[in-house]
Amino acid sequence: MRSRLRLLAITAVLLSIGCDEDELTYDDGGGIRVTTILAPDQGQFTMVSPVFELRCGSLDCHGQPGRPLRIYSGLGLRLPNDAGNLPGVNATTPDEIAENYYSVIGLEPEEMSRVVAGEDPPTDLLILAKPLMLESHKGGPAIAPGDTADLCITSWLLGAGLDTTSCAAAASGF
Amino acid sequence: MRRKHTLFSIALLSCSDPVTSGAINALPGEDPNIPIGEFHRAGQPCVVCHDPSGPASSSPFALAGTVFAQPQNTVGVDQATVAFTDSSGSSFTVQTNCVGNFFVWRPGFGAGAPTWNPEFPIFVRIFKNGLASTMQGQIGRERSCANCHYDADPTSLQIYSSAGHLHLYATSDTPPPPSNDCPVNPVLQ
Repeated sequence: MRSRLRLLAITAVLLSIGCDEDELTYDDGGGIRVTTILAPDQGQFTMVSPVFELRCGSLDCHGQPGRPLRIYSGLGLRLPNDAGNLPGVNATTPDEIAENYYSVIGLEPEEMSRVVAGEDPPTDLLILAKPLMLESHKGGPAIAPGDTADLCITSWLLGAGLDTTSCAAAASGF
Repeated sequence: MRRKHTLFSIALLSCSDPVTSGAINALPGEDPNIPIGEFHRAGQPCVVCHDPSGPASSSPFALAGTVFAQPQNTVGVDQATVAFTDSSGSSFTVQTNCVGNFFVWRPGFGAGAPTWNPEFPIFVRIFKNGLASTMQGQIGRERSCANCHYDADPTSLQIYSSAGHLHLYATSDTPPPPSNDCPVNPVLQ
């Protein structure tokens, strides 16, 4: 019995050494649990954001302030501003693209880290699983397996070279 | 015991979907000068009530809204055509009535009127007498145009999430006058 407990304890220690999540989550010293995210490239997201804006960000879907995965866009929800940018007035701003990036990577920070680390496939993330209807999605299928939106987002998540052709095609229409 | 059962039944009957009841409570009231029917509640989100789970479930709409003339007024546009195309390629057109209201019946309702069961997302275009206005984005899932197309309080953050009321003509256009033979006033008060 004692040897079995020792074996279990050693296994637990070995598993924890290989666990990225433990390294990414820590106490900030003030009792606040902080999760840092292994995230895909923010610069490349400038080409990925329009795909989320077009497929997900209409005012009746994720272009709503009260909904998870909040997406700002020129045609939809606008980040409060003094520049006169309203829905349908002026293009998506760099600040809005940055907010969209934080929405996308922050929806499931732990899972995003696992995907970027190559531990889990991109389809484990809700940002793909839901529009691909691998999980229930109120808005139905917003992306089809293998379509340009799928290829764009997946290539961005995998970090092995953004599929810019697919991103441009997906951002130009359905 | 029977009394307890009765009280429990009453409690159950008074329960309702808080989302639906909240949305209904947030609506402006009926205009006393307009009877309940095809001309009522112009500019309001029709499918809040005209939904299978709403209080007007006997007349459920797949899509519905109101076309007004211009951004700066709420004068209903009569006989405008609203043309929808859904993600499967299916199309449907409907005409506005004299207050600008239009509605698409769900299959199985409408007493013989054309019905449609669209697959979202939907693309939409409005036109009349050769003038057309196309919605730049798509309708992702909303059946009531007015849930996105409403006039927000300009001093509130709502202005960043409202596309303004639906309109066919631009601010600088001179639209045709409102219908003279409309049974109710087509100019929203």
